[in-house]
Amino acid sequence: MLEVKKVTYKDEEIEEKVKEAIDDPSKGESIEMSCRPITTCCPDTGWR
Amino acid sequence: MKIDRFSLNPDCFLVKGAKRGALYDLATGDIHSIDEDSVEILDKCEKGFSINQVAQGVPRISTKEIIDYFKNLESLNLGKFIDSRQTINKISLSPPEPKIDFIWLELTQNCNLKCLHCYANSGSKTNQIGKDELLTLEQWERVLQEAFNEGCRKVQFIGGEPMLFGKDIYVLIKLARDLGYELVEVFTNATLLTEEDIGLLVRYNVQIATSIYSKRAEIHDKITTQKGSFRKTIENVKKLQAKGIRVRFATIAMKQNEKYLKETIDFLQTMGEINPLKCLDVVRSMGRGKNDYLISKNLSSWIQRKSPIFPKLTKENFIKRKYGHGCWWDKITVIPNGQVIPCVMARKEICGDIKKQSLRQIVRGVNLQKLRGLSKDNIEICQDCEYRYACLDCRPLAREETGNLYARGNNCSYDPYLGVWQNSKERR
Repeated sequence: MLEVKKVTYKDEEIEEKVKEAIDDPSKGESIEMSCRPITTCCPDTGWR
Repeated sequence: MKIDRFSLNPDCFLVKGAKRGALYDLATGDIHSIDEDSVEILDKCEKGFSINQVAQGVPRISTKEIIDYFKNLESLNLGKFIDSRQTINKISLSPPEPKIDFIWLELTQNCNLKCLHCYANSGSKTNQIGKDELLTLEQWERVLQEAFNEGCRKVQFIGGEPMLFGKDIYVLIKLARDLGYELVEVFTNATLLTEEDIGLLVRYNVQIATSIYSKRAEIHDKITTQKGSFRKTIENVKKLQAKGIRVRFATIAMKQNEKYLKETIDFLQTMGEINPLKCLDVVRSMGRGKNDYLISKNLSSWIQRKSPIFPKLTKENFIKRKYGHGCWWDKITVIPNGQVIPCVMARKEICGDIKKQSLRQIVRGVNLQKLRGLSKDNIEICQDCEYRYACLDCRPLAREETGNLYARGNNCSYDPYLGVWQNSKERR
């Protein structure tokens, strides 16, 4: 079966996943979604 | 006219991994994971093979299945059927010129707090840099001017605690404003701000960034190791906000505050318009952050990438990551002795000295260019991963974890040679 599967998500969807991981750490979900590596020292982080 | 070929769109790129592949659609920013047979088929298409030639090359897959697959890709607007005489010219992906988009000026390594996790080892008695080695005010002014000349329009003053630089910080802030910097930010713990400081920050329209580790004073103070720091920070943040100053919040998760992280983020959301996705970091294993007592099992799990979930990717970011390092490409840091490093975290990557060179020479110099050019194509394992232009990583962190600047960091569980996420055994 030839596959094509989208792996990108909107910011709001990723935000939701991060929230879920924080709300219940026991689920073992990741908050590492290719966004975290940017340090919070960067001025473009943090804002909605 | 005979429709006998299939081609990906001009702005859709096939990126091959060791096993699987990905289609990067720069028109929408979407990335699609594809299996190894699809990689082989689309690779032949991109080389100009006809559909019949493609089908002959992969006899294990029926022509009907291949055509149905192309129809599926066409319905996703990733490619189209074309005739053999048509040429599809891919959009240009030329590397951008070296520039500085953003500069950190680390004015001092002294700090009135001594946070448990500080990546820069800042504190009151660090004495890392001798007094006679520090840049003079005139040299800092030159840095600001030269960075502006290089096209930089965003500056952040950071430390240590930048307010310990003294009132000369306002000479630099005024200069930044006079030159025409569009963003002037001070990353401060805000504990030392006086009414006079707040007045000057208002006058020069400075944006503030600060870290808050918990809504509970005792937890925050335990992390800053300074009793009363939470109260002072919050009091001054409220004064700043009352005067109309924009305050950006950051929180760093570590063992000492992880239980309260949700309430901390809820608290920060009541303090300002923050995005929980973007204000949160997990302690990085550098400086004092290396201490094992800061990291728990939960946190280790949190920072482990376990599935392919990526934000949409702009064409600009694709180009950056194809030709260089996603973060370092257009940023730079000057530390108090004039040494230049690519970001505040990259303490070991010294690529120039303001006392001996102009910023222009450093930006165009071999040392910085080599670091800026560190795309994932140069990183072990990552170079064989189809997500290498979608994914960011922290090179200084990977270096601390592995001792090797070119090694993959410890937080990814994808095996590109098997096309499998090791934790889930899910092929995607």
